[in-house]
Amino acid sequence: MCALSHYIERGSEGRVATTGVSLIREHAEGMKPPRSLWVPFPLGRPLGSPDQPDFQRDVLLSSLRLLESATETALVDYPNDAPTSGDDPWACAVALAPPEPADETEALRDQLVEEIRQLAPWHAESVKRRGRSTVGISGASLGQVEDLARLLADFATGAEPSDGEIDWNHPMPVRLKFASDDLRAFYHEAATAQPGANYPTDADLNDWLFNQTLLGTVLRQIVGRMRESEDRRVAGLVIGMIPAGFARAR
Amino acid sequence: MVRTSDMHPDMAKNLLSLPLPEIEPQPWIAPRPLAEAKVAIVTTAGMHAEDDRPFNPGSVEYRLIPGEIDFADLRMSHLSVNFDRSGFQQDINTVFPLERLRELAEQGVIAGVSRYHYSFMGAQPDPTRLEKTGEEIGRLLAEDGVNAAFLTPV
Repeated sequence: MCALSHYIERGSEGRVATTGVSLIREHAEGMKPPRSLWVPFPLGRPLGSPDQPDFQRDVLLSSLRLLESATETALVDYPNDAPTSGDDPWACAVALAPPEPADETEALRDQLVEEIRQLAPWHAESVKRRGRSTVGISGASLGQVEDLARLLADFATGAEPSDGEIDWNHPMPVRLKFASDDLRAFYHEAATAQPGANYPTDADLNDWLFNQTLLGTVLRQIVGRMRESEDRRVAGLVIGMIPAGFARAR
Repeated sequence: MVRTSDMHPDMAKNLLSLPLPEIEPQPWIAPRPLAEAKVAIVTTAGMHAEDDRPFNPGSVEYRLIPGEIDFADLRMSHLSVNFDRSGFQQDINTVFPLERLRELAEQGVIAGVSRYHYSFMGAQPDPTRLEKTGEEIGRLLAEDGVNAAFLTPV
């Protein structure tokens, strides 16, 4: 991001000034983009918190105002933390009781599909409330999330991964990464479908998914198989499957 | 407050090990007043329209995001797993504040919103590889009458 500021201004030949936000202060300090607002927010939330338009607008405007105030390279700290819903712990409205994962492929497929079907009404509520879903980067449509689960169950149990009916955007093994991301998006959207004052942080959602759902257990099994793979392309995907700190069950 | 010292040690180590190449500063650009500026968003969140190509590992390409895009058509194919996606999943403005920018234009705080915005893949192991496409975006924005770009990471 910092490098792009320099390149965009250079390419514009002085016609486009850049400003922006920085999530890693050390990066902005080192690469010195012309104008940057460091924000003390979690990675992935450069404007602060979802569904907080006044706060988001203030962050955006604080960065844009550097275009008027800065007369030399400027790195300014945004003074406010992102809004949170308070001290009460978040709890997912969907009470899942994940079973011990089956060893046999068809049984594990059925278990994962059953978990998805428990979440489906909440996901439908999410789509109704938000008017959209971010599921789809694997190539799967919303109607094909169960095929994503089958692919992951196949790999987790050592079976030949099935293609299903999905028009995949990526070949194997990268397909596993994006199938996993799409399923995590489905779970997150379902878990956050219920509007309320108490909304989850990223850590809340990761803790729920990796410690209280069958999908989390299956993703750890998949990473275990990836680590053992002699195919370097498969082993190289490990880093993109599970966030730091959630590789082991709590 | 989130600083690298608050992050998981593995994530902080990875982030702080990324190279920070020295890039020769450009002559200082004296921007127009905000009220006269047309503004575009450039994101490194790996976002793209649903019917556009997902990003591949190591990609230095960019994706065009039309200014009138419906948020229902936006996807994120960033490879890194170590950032929060739930903010984006709940409210795309958490990452790509196009609705907030439109509001500032309606209020007259800025002159207008660009017809086009641009997206790159972040977490680049060598950010100097973005030089060619970054300069290209600069040219495209300038030729489209854009005066300022708001850059946002993820």
